[in-house]
Amino acid sequence: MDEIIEVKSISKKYKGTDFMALDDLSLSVNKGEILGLLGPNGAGKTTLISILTGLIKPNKGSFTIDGLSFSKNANKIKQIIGAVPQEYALYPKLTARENLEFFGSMYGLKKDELSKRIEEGISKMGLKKFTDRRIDTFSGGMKRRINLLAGVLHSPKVLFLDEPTVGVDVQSKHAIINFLNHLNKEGATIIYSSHLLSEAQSFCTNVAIIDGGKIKIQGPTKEVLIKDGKVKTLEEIFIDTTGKELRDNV
Amino acid sequence: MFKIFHAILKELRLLKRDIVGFAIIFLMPVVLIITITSIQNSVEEGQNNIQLPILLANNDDGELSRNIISDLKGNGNYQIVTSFDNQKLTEEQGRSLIKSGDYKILIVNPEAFSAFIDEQTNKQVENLLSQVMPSEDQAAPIVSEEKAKEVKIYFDPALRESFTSNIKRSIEGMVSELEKNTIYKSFEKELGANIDFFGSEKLIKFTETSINLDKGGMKPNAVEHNLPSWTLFAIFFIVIPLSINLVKEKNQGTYIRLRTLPISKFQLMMSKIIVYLVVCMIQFFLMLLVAIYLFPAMGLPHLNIDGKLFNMSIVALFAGLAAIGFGVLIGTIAKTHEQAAPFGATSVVILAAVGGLWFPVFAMPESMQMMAKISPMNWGLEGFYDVLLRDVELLALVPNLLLLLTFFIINITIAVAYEKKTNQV
Repeated sequence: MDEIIEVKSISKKYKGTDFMALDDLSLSVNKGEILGLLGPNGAGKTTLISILTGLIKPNKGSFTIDGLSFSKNANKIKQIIGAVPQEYALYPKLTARENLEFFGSMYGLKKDELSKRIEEGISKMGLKKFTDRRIDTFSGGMKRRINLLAGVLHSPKVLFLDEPTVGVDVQSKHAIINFLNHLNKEGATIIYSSHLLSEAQSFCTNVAIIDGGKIKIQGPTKEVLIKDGKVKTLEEIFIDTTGKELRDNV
Repeated sequence: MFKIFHAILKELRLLKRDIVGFAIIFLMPVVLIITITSIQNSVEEGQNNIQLPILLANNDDGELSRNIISDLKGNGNYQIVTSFDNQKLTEEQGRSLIKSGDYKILIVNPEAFSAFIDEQTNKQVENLLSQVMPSEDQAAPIVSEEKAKEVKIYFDPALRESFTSNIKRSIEGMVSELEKNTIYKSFEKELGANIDFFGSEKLIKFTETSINLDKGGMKPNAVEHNLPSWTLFAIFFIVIPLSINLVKEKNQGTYIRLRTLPISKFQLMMSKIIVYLVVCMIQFFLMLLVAIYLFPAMGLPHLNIDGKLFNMSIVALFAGLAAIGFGVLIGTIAKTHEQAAPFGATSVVILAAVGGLWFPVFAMPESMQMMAKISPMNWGLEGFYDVLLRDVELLALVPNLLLLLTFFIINITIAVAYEKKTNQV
């Protein structure tokens, strides 16, 4: 399979801290994968996603997305990736349609095509009758769904999701996961960070467990779950790999 | 351009939904200019129409005191009260009435005031004449060394010092004129002749003339003085909604998404600058409309902007840029809405005060005058005054316009550098 993301020896140390958020981390992601980026708090998941989406720069190392290096092709990379932050990255005073029109147009989507994609996306997310309602009247689950739509209107090749289902009800979670599976079937590679291990176990084709800024385990989910000849749950593998020590100091 | 257009559309929608911000931007300045101009105009007109009640405790029945009372009454600005409860007003009663706040001013004429002035004047004149025209059978008169009689003036402590000084000067001027007349009369008496000293005309007259009268200009009125001040104040008040807009974007998480979009920071910044610049210009034209159409209907002075609209618009445009630059800087540095709003409001009020929007710069202490020279509101104010009151050409506006533009560039540069530094985590 073709590699779409290649990360080479990336290190990151935040100013004013004495630990490496990412420590010489290398990673490759193939086209069409759904990679679950898992790890305890402070493991380096969000730092890695922030670097790959261009929010912060690494101290060392390099990476490419679809063969393009970020330092030389920032705008081209931004055009082919979609980023869905953990926060509701929406304007509360604008309606769902107005938010989507703004974010879609920033990817260069023109009026008719943009309207078509907004209608399709909103229908799939079950929010058709709320299209012209302001975001600040939405529930958490509805906001999460619009938050996701805003990052995928331009059909990105690579989609970065930071805990896309945190704090939502089961119905919204199903709608989001189904929508992501649909995007993946259409060719999108998905990098998904979460603490919900059972969700990751069923949703991700591949997983990478990070701890202390390093990748501890990476591979297809089915292979990772087999340890000492036995099939374990992802949570058991996770605890075996990262330990039971609380991570409140990070 | 396509992306900037949609970013502008988004900003306009956000602005439209922010009712409080909308009120701050458009409604408040209109209310301010109407209120302040109405008050200022009525105060200016009132100086001629309103009679200020003055208590006079007169302890002297002489001619000079009668003349003082007659002149004060004849002045037209004062209503002289010499009795209370059908009794002649005493100093004690007067003080009590001032203390209670019922009256603002009390004048106390000392006993035998007129006789004292007459006596002193006659002695001075006789002394002078005996030196000029000595007479063998006449000894030089002895001039009394008694100190000057004291006319007491009491003021309500709540009165502003500038107001009390004005009244004091006015009364002193009147008394001085009466003193002068007494001296002339004394000379007439001593010389035994009827001399008309300079007739009744004053030798020096003061004529107030507008510098632009030769160009057909009018004497500036309250509207022409207030419009530039309050327009600038309104324009700079966009610092508050603009900085809050930026802070909200940072705190809502939309800022993170914006940084992952294929649009440059410059394009995003341009969209905000364009929208808020349009807002500034709407504010400016709104103030003009109020001054041109609403004020005359309210009986306030008319604003004449014939041939000045273009130059005034240019000044408003550059003042708007300066305000936007300042707003972007505050919005970039502030971390919360609670930091941006009070700091924005307070700094605008300080800039307005230092810039001479409320008090003339020449009347400020030297250090404040220096501060005024580096205040963008002062550059804007001088620009407006140049156009509206001094009737200068566009070229003469360039120095102030350049200062406003430089202020904008410096603020944006600092904001960009600060943001870059804070993003280098």
